Amino acid sequence: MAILDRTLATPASKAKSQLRLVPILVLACGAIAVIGLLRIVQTSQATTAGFAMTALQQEKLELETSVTQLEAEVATLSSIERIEREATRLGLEAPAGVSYLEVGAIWPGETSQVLPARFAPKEEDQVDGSPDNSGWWQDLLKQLPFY
Amino acid sequence: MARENRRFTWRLALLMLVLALSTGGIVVRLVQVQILDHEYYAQKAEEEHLHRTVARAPRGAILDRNGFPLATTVAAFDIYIDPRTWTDASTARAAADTLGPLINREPDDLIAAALQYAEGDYLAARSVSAQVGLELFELAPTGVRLVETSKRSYPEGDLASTVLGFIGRDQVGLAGVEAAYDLELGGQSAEIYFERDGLGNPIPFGKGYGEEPVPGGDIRLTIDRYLQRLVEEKLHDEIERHEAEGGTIVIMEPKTGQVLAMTSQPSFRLSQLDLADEEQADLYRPRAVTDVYSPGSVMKTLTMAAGLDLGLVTPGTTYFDSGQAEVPGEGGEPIENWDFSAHGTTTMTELLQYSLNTGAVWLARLIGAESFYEYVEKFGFMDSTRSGLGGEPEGIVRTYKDDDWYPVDLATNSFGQGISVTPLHMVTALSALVNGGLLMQPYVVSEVVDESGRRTYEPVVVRRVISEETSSTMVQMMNAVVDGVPTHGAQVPGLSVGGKTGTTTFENSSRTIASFAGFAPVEDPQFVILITIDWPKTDSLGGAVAAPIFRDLAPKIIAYLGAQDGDIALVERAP
Repeated sequence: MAILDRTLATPASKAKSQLRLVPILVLACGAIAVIGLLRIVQTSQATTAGFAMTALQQEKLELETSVTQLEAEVATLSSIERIEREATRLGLEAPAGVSYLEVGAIWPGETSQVLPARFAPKEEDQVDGSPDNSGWWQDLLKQLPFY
Repeated sequence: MARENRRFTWRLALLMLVLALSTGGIVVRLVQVQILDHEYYAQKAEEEHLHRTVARAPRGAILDRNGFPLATTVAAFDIYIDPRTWTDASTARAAADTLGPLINREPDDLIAAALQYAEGDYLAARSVSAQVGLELFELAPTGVRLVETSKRSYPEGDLASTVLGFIGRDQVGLAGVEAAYDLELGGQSAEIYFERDGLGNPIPFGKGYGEEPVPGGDIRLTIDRYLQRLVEEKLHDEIERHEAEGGTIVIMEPKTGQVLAMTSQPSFRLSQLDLADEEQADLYRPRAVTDVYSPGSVMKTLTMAAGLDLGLVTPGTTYFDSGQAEVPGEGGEPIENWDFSAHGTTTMTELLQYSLNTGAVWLARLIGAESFYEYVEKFGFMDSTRSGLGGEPEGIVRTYKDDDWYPVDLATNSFGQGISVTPLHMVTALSALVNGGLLMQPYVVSEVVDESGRRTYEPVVVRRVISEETSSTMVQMMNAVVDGVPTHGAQVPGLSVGGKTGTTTFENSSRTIASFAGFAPVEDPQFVILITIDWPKTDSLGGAVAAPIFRDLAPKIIAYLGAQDGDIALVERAP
């Protein structure tokens, strides 16, 4: 009986398993397709990025070249020769001769320089907070006419 | 019958043996290739896929003392043509028509040259300007490849050419500061490896390794571009005016040993540099540093300094000038004054004022050979100055220790004949005379700024040569030499200066070197200058040729240096 049951059950389970296999295969194919597509997209993006990188490197090179070119131009424009040329173009010329004058005055030193009164700070009474330490005999001496 | 078929025949055995041996051979070879020689073949495979390129480090700039560039690096391009892409005539014609005018070459010549080039790419032009390179990037002619490189640019033109020097095609310094400081300026190139495709282009996200190149450092010189231009123009004009063979001018800051300006003629022009021209090779060296000359009467100042420093004489000490000085034991001609004059009783100050050879001989004998050459050594003439530039010789001095030295050498050396030093030696020694007696090491590079930081070169005192008192006395005596002689050609109205003329003579020749060494102002010497004019035809004497050059230059130098100080002070003192 058991043998009979097994014999009878076999075709049904086969059909069942075939039914289960189809979606699995479909899913597998789908997965493979998705993975393949992702791979293509990834490769495509890498290639695009590669081209972009090359273009950016080229742009970087061009910009760096421009920078050094501009730096050199700035240096050339600030050269003495060019400044002299421009000065001449503007009508300036080097002094023909130098005259030296001997002045009989003492060159003012820093300490002897006096500001005009209107700029000088107003003099204030000096407030000396320290007590007068002179002795009585000193005060007495100060009273003398020849002191 | 069936049994016979299964019989193990010799043919079968042979076949099996052959198969076994073949299989064994393959296995052995596989073991050798994949296991034993794995490293070697892996490397070969990598070499096939990886491309090696050298990334050059950008070369640093050379700046003057105020930071103005004298030599910089600008981008440039080498232009290559791939001949395989020019096999089609119309394509080649179109590309050559675009490229040719930009690199000044005929299109037909370009096509012929490129197609004759069988191996690799054809180098059509070297180091073309960035402007042309950028234009070619835009136009992108077929088969034309641009390889980035660099070249030197000189914003100040040919200024200080012998000091700066130059570099070769391999970007290595060959002369001047470029050669002496090549390590600092050159930086470090780097090898870069990257994976490439069949066309040789880099594969994005492919394997690659290598380090970034380390850029070269910038070098700041002690040279001032204004003073350098001033002396270069002046020297050029004076050489023409006196129909001279050449000349030298060196300006030094006496307190530090910094060379403010240094020029020599003949020299080369950076804008017309041609390394293939052998005649130019003699023009590359900075003669003020590399060539020796006999200083003539300028040397009398050093002889006098030695006498004063030893306490043997004072400015007022007298000797009797008979117009001749006998050299004992020689049997030759007595030494005479340059103008064959005799002055009778003469002071040491007058000795310098009239530049008397007899007085220098008298003084040298008083000093003695041993002490005299000790001072010559202390002034640095027995050694190179170690300024940092290449090709510096030692002075050529015969001393009493040498077998070929005679007493006449002491006599002639005392007034600068028979002794040879470089102009840099001389200006350094003169700086010691006026700076308080210290011999400073001359230098032209004050600072190096690179990736590792800032390195500053400070003034170096080599030794004390004379006392401060002697130095002060020498300043006054040299002032008397110029301002104390009414018609002296070096006098500058409104400025107290000091100096000494020199005229180097040559045996059996009318050739002379006219020179003048001076300083200003006397109160606080800001600069020392040495001027030499080689073989002037209009006049032969230092007083007539070189001293007037000092008179013209000194006020300009003082005005310039003074103006700088004033500006700095104004900024510091502003409220």
